[in-house]
Amino acid sequence: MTEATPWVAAPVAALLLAGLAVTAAALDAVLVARSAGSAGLVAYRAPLQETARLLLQRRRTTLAPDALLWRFGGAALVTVALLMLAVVPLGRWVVVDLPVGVVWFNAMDVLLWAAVWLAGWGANSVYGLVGGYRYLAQALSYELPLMFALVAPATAAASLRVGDIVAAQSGLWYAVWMPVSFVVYLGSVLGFAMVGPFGYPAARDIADGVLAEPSGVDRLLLLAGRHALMVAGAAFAVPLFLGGGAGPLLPSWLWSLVKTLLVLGVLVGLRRRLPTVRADRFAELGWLVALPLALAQVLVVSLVVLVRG
Amino acid sequence: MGLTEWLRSAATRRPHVLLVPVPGGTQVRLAAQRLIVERGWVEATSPAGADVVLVCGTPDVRLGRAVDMVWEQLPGPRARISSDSDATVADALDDGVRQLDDLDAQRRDAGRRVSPSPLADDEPGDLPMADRAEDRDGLKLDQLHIQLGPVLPDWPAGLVMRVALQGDVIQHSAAEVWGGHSVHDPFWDAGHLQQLRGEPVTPAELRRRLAAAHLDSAARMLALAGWDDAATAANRVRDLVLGSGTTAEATDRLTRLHRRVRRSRLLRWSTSGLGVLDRKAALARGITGPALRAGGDGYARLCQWLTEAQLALRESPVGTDGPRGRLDGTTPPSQPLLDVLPGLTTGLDLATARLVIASLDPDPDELLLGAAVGQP
Repeated sequence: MTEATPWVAAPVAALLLAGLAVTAAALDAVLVARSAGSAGLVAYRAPLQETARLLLQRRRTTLAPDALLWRFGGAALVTVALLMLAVVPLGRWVVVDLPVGVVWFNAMDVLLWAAVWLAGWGANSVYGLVGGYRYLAQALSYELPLMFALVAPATAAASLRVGDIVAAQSGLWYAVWMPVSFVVYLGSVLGFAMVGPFGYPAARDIADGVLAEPSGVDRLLLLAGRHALMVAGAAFAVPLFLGGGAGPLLPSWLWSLVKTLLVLGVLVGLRRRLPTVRADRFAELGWLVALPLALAQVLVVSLVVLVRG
Repeated sequence: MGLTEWLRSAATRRPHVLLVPVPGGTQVRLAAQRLIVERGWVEATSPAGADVVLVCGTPDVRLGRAVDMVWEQLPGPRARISSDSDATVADALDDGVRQLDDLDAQRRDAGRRVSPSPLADDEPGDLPMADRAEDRDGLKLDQLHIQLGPVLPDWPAGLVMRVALQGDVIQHSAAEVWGGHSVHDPFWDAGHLQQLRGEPVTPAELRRRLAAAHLDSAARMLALAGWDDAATAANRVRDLVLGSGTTAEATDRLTRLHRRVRRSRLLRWSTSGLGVLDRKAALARGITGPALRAGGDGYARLCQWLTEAQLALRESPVGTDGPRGRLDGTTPPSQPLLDVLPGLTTGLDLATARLVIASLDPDPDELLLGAAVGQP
């Protein structure tokens, strides 16, 4: 059951997003430092040091860029993450309890197609352009499986409202009997955040792709946007698959937070441990394996719903 | 303390260093990478993300001009340092931090830089219109001529490939190496060359350097395949092997790395079938060394490097071959590797082409400094 919240909910959500994004970045920095053998735990300060460095760095431009669209594309990542987070409940509170919350989330992640491509194309640079197109090629392969992964919990709860999906998980969490949807969803979060095995658009072999040309505040917005998208994706997994704020002892908002942190930890842990999958190879996997499996999962869910009455 | 000073003191704790490897400066580059990891700094992958440019070695005129162009692309605050021996790298890095901290000098530098005037729509500088050419399906598509290198992350020092791209597919390419100055032997081959000339060299030294050379190449390829953890682990073992670490620890870490790489089905799926050079084709091109022995695609060459590094550390007898191949011929062993690149990369997109180049990994030191005993 979600409550209507006063206007202060939106800034609080933004602060939470920022805090969790910094936490994700700090965890990533600690893991990188440990695997490199340098002082591990001290690396938790890395996101703040990086923010300071980028705030002091000058912005740069290239020859004949489309400046408006370039900067807009870069800034859109954080905006989309915040919009995604608007429908995610923290315990009982939510910024906006849309009757079509699941569709809203999907629409926001489709907006990223335009945002990342503009961030790449707008710079008028080879590596940026290749990065932008790589994102489109990759998104084409994960988008349909993601859509069907989002359909499965909505079918089981017979509603597109996120609050109803949380309420319908009072028996068994959806992650347990919809594992395929859960895994496809987590993979898609890595995909639209461009990290880990799906970091192809921002890969090292094209000098960081979409991140090759921007500097200063533009670069900070892109890097922060990637972490913010990971956070928004992890946060949305909680009401959709992990029962929302349900749990013993602790208040529901704390359970939501704890579960979000757990999913975030899994995503960040997977980030550096897997090689990057190229979009042309991934197309086979996305269309020939993930899509049929996601569809089969939806079929199973529908049959269960029918049988239950 | 003002806000700027406070932010600056936080920012200079972790500068991003863009390494410019120069042929002849391999030792400097290795020392720089080791120090950057030790200090918890970051190796930058593009000029936009870098604060410091570190030139590892002494570049020649062409490479020097390329470094100047990269220097111009760094946003402020920036520092430019260079080092031509591994003993001076630490001081150079400290000097770089001092330059970054010097706010007055940075302000003067910023004032001296001219921002370009906004361009009218129909006169984009000196850029010519994109020309059109046939692509592999017989369609006429726009063609873009770009130059890969000489400054690029995980790229052989001084290698320049001029490619004609349609989309991101390479239509034709040409490879050359821009040089540097050095009076020493190529770093990776030094021990073997000394042995061939009849000078005394300890076998342990030869083995360590051979293993480190293979690990260096493997780390570059793993980084390009996007596997950061494995690349960092390979670099860590390389530094252990080259430094004063015990062989036991290095062997242990290398065994674990090798097992991880072999077990990774994702890596095999991602890199299989790229740059296939079977043994007959390799022999016909004059390729020797691990690229010949692996006889297959890029993944096979990567596994061959790790296997041979393990064998080298396990005290097995080391032949007279350098890490890229035979050193007693008339051409350096990297020359056939360089010559085969344009043929293998044509028709591939940028990602696969870079993986193929990394799986062959010609050593520009050899090409410019002459790593064949038969050469004068």
